[in-house]
Amino acid sequence: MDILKLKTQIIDALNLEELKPEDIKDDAPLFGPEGLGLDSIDALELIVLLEKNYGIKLTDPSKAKNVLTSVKAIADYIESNK
Amino acid sequence: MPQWKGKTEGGDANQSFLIRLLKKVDVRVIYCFLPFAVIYYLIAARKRAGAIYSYLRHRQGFSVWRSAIGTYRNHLLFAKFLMDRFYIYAGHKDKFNSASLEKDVVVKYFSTDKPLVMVSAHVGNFEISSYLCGKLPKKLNVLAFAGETEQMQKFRSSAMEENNIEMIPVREDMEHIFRLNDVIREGEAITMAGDRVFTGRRNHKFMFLGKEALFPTGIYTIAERYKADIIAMFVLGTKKNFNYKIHVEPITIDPALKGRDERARAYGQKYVDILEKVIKENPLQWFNFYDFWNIEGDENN
Repeated sequence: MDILKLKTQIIDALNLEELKPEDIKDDAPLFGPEGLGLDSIDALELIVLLEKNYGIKLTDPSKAKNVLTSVKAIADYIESNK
Repeated sequence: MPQWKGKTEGGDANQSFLIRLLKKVDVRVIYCFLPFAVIYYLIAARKRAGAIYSYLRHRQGFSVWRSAIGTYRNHLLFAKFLMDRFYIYAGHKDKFNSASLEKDVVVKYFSTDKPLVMVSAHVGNFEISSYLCGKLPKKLNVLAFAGETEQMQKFRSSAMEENNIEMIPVREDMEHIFRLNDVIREGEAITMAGDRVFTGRRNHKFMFLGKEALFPTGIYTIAERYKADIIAMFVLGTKKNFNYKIHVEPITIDPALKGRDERARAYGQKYVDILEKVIKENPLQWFNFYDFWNIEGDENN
């Protein structure tokens, strides 16, 4: 799994223009004040990104909560669902 | 950041009692008691009353006296509108009406294949809109804070069911996001308040009634993603009992405008302009009972 490519896709999908891929730590939390501070609409964009770019449909909210925690968690999920 | 708890006053038992009462008693009888209840409430909840007084005095430019009377009348209207909602929950929705022309405009927006995003506000009695337009041609999904009691949600759901309306409670988990994704993709309609900020980065400052206030813009990002029609809609009380006026207006921006954030902001600005126009015409129907312009959330502000 190309994690740098995933970070670029996330930056593009969420319109995080002020960030570069190397600014996002692999295991930094995506949501909440300690991490990137993403919100529920970003979560929706990430769900769409997974569907559009990787053909992975996240339908279970409790599973999504575990998957959309960090870039590494998303990358692992993509890898295991290839 | 100012926030509302998302909960109608009164516990399960009181709300159930009120509905049982309204099944038997005409709501106009209840209206007679409201002036006394409101006086008590104004004394007991001075902070809320203070927020409305400040809004009328400083944002609407009313005199001291007119602001004081306006604060009382605002609370009285709010109580009356709340009773109207309970009267509907008690099974009397057929008693309420609005001009058929306005209803036709709303129904027209619900008759296309495109998804529809309807942005409301804590102005007038928006919930009544759900019952005024009859059975809608497409499902309307109401995004609302999940703070209401279970009983209150049951009343609402049962009253809304036959009008093709469903509630999507906004919670801390992501369930509402999945529901939102599904329903909008299906071409259904969603509605949410455009004057209630959520935590996150999609809130922007706009000049509103002469002072900056925070408004959410995330809803417009979602609407654009799914190429939805976006409309502002407010339901305003009139001088007649059981009669409401629907204000519906498309929220459109320059199609040539580039950049996702810029476009979301432009939609936000258009919404704020419409809201300002509506609230200037109906100053007493503003029901955000906190200091809406206190952007920093300063308690002493």
